[in-house]
This record gives sequence, structure tokens and C-alpha cells, in this order.
Amino acid sequence: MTGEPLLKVSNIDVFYGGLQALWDITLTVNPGEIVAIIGANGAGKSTLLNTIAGVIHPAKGSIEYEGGKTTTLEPFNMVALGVCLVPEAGRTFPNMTVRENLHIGSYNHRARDKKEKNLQMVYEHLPLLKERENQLAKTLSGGERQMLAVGRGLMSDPKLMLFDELSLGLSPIIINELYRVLREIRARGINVILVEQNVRRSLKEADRAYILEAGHVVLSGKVAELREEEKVQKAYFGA
Amino acid sequence: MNFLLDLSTPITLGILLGGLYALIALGLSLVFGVMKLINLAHGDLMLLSTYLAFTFMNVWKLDPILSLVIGIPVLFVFGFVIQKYLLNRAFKISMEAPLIITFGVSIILENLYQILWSPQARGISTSYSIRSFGIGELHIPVIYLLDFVAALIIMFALREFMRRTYLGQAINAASQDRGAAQLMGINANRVYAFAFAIAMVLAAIAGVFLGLTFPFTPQSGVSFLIIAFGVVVLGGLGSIAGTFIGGLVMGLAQTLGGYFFGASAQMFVAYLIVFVVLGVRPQGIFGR
Repeated sequence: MTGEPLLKVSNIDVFYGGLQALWDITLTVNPGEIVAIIGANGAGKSTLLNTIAGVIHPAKGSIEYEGGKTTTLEPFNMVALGVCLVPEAGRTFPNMTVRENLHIGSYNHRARDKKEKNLQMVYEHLPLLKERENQLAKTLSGGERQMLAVGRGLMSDPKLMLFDELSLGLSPIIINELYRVLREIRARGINVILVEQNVRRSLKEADRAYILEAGHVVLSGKVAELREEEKVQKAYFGA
Repeated sequence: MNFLLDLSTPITLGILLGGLYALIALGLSLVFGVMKLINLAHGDLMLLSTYLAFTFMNVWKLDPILSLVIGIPVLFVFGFVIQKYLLNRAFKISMEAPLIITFGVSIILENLYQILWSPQARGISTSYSIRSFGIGELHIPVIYLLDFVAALIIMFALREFMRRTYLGQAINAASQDRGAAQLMGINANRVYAFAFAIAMVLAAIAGVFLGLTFPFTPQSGVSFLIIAFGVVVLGGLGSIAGTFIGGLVMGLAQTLGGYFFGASAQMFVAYLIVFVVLGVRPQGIFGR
């Protein structure tokens, strides 16, 4: 790998509601990469994403982003730095219109100046949002809401986007659409960490992957190499 | 025909009074809508502005409405500080802790007013607030009309603020999903402090018009709170249009109740309607 990693998570322990959820996790994201985190339900994938985004803070270890320590920062600080989490199920604001949801995405000061430009970009990637511009978010379908959540995240002008279960419960057509956008996002130079139940899909899109089991990283590496691992084959490809 | 003509007075007065009631309730509704907190000190905080207006007129011989030049910034800062240093911390303990704090603030203020302004009943009467004008058979106190116009202007301004500014949208977002708002770069605690401060600006304005309309004592905060609470229950929490309608229903119930059942039944009729609405439609007439 060339140069410094964009994100460096070093040996973190994380507790969730008094119970330890992550043990000694180390993870890096290098510029230009899509990194996938895979594992069974309850393995700690979402906890790891939430910790990177500042929602939860590690009890031990450190998180560095662009060379600076961010271990104790809050989510709104992380957004200002360019780290944006698109949470599970999108969590768009139901009683706001599509346009208002996108508008609030550009709340941080860095993004405000680029609001019009980013809005054009979002409408370019997700033309459906422009059609639905004046609709309340609660009147959208699940897939449309997820698209809105992605668009809202893009409005924050991120350098690193974290997706928690991007495709969960959505139809294949919508999933394809979302992954098309994901590739476009990457082409724009935005880094991505992907947490997915859909292992085949996320391994197809990612450069590297970390496999979590019960709060530990059990395997990590380039996707092409991981595919060859017997354990991965058995667990995720049914071979 | 005569009957209808007789009714035109309570209906007109009820609508105008309803505007004032909506104004009283706006701040309470905003705080509840955003933080899910019933601010038990809302009436007493409003009363601070009322006493300030009273002092302005009696001590400095200035128009009571001018007192808002001081009342608005004082209550804004006061609201910000209460939310930031007391309520935001209390929220970490439990949902009840901030409620009890607002109750404490209410008691402290009530006693403070007794010390500063004595327990005596006061009123603010200016040349315009005691006058009335006639339209045919109707006699309308000028101050009622002033209350109503002020309420309309404030509600419109609040709506525009909530829709058009980043802060307004952030308050709206944090009220719908605090966690998601933080993930969009919004510092929820800071936005809460601003929301409370803005609610106090609304209280400051309402307080002056209340003082111009009704007599008051240091204990009046509670009765103003109860009116505001009734309005908010009727209209549904957190929406400006709902608060306005709630205010109108409350005002009309009071004046029509007085017309049909006598002055002593006024508030009884108003709260009977609140009671029925709570039973049939607990989310309020316009609640979501």
C-alpha cells in the first residue's frame, strides 16, 4: 500500500450496554478502497461501524482518521471531518420532504458552501429523488428511502462513507441500483466501508474484507485471496 | 336573528382570545415537540417578561411592548443556559429528572417574583390596552385585536424560521430522530439549547401581551401553563397550525361557555372539551 491509511482503527475494545461487543479490533482503510466487513448476525459489524462514526466510544485502543486521533469525537464532529454513516434502514426524517432531507445533509459547514453543487450531483446519481423532491420521506417506499439516505449522506460532502446493511430487505432491482450508485461514489474518490448480510454481493464490490466472528476479527485480506480460503468458502459460498 | 347577533360577540372575542392562547402555547409546544419535555416553568418564565413590561411602564414610563428589547435577549440566554447546563445533563439521568428540574425552576421564579414585585395583583394598562372599538353591535377591546395580530405575525415568523434556516431544519430533524440528526452533523444538545432559547423568546412575547390583557400575580404562571397545556392537548403537540387551532377552540370554548352557562363555567367548559379530546383523540385534533 502506498502512503498513509485514511482510517486506522487500532486494537479497540468496545462495550455495548455493559457487555463487551468487540475485542482487540484492528482495521485500516487505504485511500481509494472499498472495505467490506462481513460476519453473522450479532458478530459486532454494526457496533464497529458505529464506533468508527463516533456513536459509541472504545474502552481501549485508538481510532485515527487522516492522521488525527478521533477516538473520543462525537458523530457530528466526524461528519464535519468527512466521515458519514448511512445507518441501517436509512433513518431518513419521516416528516420532512425529500428536498429537506437532502438539505439537512449539508448541515456541516464544509458542506454548506457546496450545497448546490452536491445537490446536482445527488440528483444526477439518483434521478428518482428529483422526481420525488416535494414528497414527505414517510410516503416513500423502503427502497426509495434507502436511496434518500444515501443521497442525504452524499450531501454531507464525505470522504469516507460507512454503509450499514445497505441492501437489507430490498428488492433485487433496488439493490442493483444502490450498488450502481456505490460504484459511482467510489469513482468520485469517496472511500467506503460496507457492512452487509449479503456476503456474495459485498465481496463482489469490495477490495478488501474483514471477517468478524463474535466480536473478533478472524480473517482479513484482499477479497481475491479470501475467496480461496477454505473457511470462507464453506461459510459463505456453500462449497 | 337576535340570538345570532348576541352570539357574534362571544364568537369574535373567542377567536381573538384564541390567538393569544396560541401565542402562550407556542413555546410549550416547541419544547415538547423537540425534547418530549413538558416545561412546567413555561408559565413562570412567561411571567418574567410580564413583570419586566410592568416595570418598564411603571418605573421607566416606557411603552410595555418596548420591554421586549430587553425581555427577548434575557429570556433567550436564560433558556439556552437552562437547557445546556441543567436539562441536557438531567436527560442523561432519566426522562423524569428534567421534568422535576422545570418544576423546581417554576417554584424558584414564583418566590422570586413575590420578593421583587410583592404578592399583590398587578395589571398593565396603557392608553390603547383599555380602549375598545365598535363594529355595529360589537364591542371589541383593542388589546384583543392586538393580541391576535401579534399571534399571527409570530406564528408566521416561526414557521418561516423552521422551514428556511439550517437551525430550524436541524431542530425539526432532531425532534424526529435524534440519533440520525447527529449522524448528519447536528450537535443535538446544542440544537436543544437553541430550541429552548427560541421557545423562551416566544414566551417573552406572549408574556407582554398577557400582561396587557389580564391582571396577574406571582402565582399566575400556573394558570397560564394550564391554559397553554389545554391548547397543546387540543391542537396536538409540535405543529404550529395545530397550536393555532387549539388556541381558537380554547378561546371559543371559554367565551361561548361563559355566554351559555355564566362566567363561572367558562374554564369548566374549556377543560371539558380538553378532557373529551384527550379521551377520543389523545394525539390532539391535528396531531399526527
